[in-house]
Amino acid sequence: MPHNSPELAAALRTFAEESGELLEAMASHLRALLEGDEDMERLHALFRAAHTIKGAGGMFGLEAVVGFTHLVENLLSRLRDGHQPLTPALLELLMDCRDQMEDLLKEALDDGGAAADPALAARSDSLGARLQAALGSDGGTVANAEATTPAQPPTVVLAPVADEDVELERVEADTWHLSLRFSPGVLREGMDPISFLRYLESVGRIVHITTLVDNLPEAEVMDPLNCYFGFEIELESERDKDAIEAVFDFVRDDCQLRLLPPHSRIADYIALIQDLPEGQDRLGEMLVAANALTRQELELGLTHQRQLAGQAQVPLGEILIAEGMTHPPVVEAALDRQAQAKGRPGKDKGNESQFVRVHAEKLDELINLVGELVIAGAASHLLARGRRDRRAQEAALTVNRLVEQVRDVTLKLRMVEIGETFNRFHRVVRELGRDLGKDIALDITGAETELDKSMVEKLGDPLMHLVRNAIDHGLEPPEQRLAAGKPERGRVRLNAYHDSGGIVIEIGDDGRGLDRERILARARERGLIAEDETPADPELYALIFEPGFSTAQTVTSVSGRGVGMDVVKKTIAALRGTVEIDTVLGAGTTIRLRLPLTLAIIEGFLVRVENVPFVLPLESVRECIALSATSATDRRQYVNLRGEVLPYLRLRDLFALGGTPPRRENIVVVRHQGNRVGVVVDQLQGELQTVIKPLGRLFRGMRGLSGSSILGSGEVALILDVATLAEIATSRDHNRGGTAAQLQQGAQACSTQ
Amino acid sequence: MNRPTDADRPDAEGPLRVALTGDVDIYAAETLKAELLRQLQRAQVLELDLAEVSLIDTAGMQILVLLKRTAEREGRELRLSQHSATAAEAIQFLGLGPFFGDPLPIQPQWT
Repeated sequence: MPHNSPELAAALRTFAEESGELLEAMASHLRALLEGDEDMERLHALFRAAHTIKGAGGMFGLEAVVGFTHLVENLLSRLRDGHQPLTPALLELLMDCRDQMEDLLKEALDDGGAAADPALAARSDSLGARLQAALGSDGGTVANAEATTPAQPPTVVLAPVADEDVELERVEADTWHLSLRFSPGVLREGMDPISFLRYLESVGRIVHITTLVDNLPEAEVMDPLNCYFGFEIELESERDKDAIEAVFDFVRDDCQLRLLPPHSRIADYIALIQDLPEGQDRLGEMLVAANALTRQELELGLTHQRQLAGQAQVPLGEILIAEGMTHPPVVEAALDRQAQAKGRPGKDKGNESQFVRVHAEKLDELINLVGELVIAGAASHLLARGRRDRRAQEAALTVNRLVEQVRDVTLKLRMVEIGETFNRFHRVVRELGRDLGKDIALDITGAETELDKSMVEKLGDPLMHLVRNAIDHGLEPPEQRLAAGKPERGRVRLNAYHDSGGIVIEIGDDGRGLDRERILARARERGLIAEDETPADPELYALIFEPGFSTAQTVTSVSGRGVGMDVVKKTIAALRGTVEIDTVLGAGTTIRLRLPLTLAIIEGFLVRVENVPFVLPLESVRECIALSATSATDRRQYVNLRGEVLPYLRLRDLFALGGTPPRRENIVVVRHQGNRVGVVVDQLQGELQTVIKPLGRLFRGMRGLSGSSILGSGEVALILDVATLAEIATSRDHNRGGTAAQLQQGAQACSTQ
Repeated sequence: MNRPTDADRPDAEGPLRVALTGDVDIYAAETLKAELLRQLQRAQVLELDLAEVSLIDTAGMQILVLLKRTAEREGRELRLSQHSATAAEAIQFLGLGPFFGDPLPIQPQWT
């Protein structure tokens, strides 16, 4: 698409986002249907999504998308109306079609007007032909019911929006149709229906109002305080159903409102006509007069309805017509139905329209400001404490509490659930499984685990590599699985959860597992490990992340070239994360990514060593105990904590801070991955909330630090990386810390920044 | 509030002219219904002068429709004339122009 103007570019971006969401929704509905959840609402939602994509695509002139989506919509329309049974084969086809729509949209939105990919177009054609075949396949059996609509065109026509079949099934009118009936008592309640009609102009342009006077009785019985009028309204509006309905919020209990969106199906109009008490002839004529229906549409609809009524059950509307016009039971029934009609859209609303789009930049700006606010708040709190003024302290406390809340809410704004990312893999798994001839189920757990949006974006590629790897290398072909006594269907698992201030993402499979011997052989072959060396499992398995390291015997189109895993490792490391491998030969492999949430602000626990402030993430702090000179066995560096061995390390030693330890040192017990380690410090200073600033270049590559922070007093505090500390404490590797000089320099560098 | 005022005595065949003033609304509805029906019985043709009408609400409009229908049923005639801008707009807004069948003044364009 050429982007001529900023407005168009912005509109296109919105379209891209919205269609992306719609495609996601389609995918989840299709999956649910495949899994046997045969809810008609899902078909409706699918149809609506396809329809919206087609409509919006048309506005941008995305011919390829529109043409293809049109065919999909046709099929969905027939399924939705029950003209065709929903079979697993059709669902598979629809899945493929959804994927194709995704690809077409991507191409249309991505390339700057370059020539279309012929392969993509070819796939459109072949899928189009399958759609046509599916549409035509049951033409014979329902020929009678279909007599009034022309047969499907037999050839693949990638026609724009309006082709014959749609015109006949859907009305031409591009207006909303509102059918309003008020209860007789509405005037007594002090409400004037006309004023609601006038208010309706706030959501659109009223094209036509037909006032129904039929219910007005003879003069003798007419009560001037009762409302007898009904209204049929044609409204031109860009707003959605909820917005239009909201106009009538105040009279919701006193009116029956029926809404037909633009281009509704004729059948819906007919149902409306039949449901209303005025009788179908009168209403039908009226709708024609108001240009809501063309005469042709009306006749077609009525004939069709009669045919159906002849064959099948009596439509609900008939009961109403049989009853008198203003019987109370009828009114009640009508209200009941209205309540039902209202209940249904409410269910969809959940995921369709309760969001406000905000530019990510604005959020970042807000988060930055909140960060500054937190620092400023901490400073004022500190001052208030120093002044020994009770009222100032109270005020500062209140402000602090509010700032905390603002901070929490603000940070949550940028948190997104990982589920959306996970769900993308359904397609990958399905397609790869098909390409490789493997039957694979994808299990997703922890989809609701939240992490920072910027993080999610960066995780897409590494996850893709890992999933592809699991499918191609991890899972055996079906024969091998059966031979090994495993179910034919392989499982790939995606899981996420929060753990000590970070997020853990697991990619697992129940495949063959890593072959220790083969990796060892390959590593020796490549000279990564000496012939006589036998490394521990984690070290050995970590080799699969080495560039160019592959034990695959065959290179497939999917993987096996040894490219990818090293990229995964690099990307995760760049996110300050780690990769672990759990594997059991013959039973499967789980790769565990451990990542920080990259929150800009953390709850910290402030400690000091030689008056240098350090911050430990509060979430990992379990308890603090005094380290008595006698309980410390410096040679072995562990203490007895209630009968358990607690390894510890001294920050003083780790960072070579020098000085003499005070008479009484403290141990902060931190937990990491279920292991407890002690961190020995001079002073405990308590909780604080603090903004994480990235480390200066000087500190890169220094172990044990994950960031820096400016305290309210203006001092620079270093944030400790618990994972590394735990590793160091348990492995007794103290030599890679920095020096005191380095720390001082770094602190200065940070504070001048 | 509104009181229909006799503008003309009934001649043998001539229309009876009644002027409506003020708000033709729910507060006046009961009076209007009784009074205008009574007036309708007195004449073959009842002409309502709407020049001084400042508002018509749903209840008011229902009375006008009732009169029109009653007149038709009884073989009489109801004419609306001299519509004030508000009256004309209300009738047009509800799409009742054809129902009353009276010539309406040309609407100023609301912008």
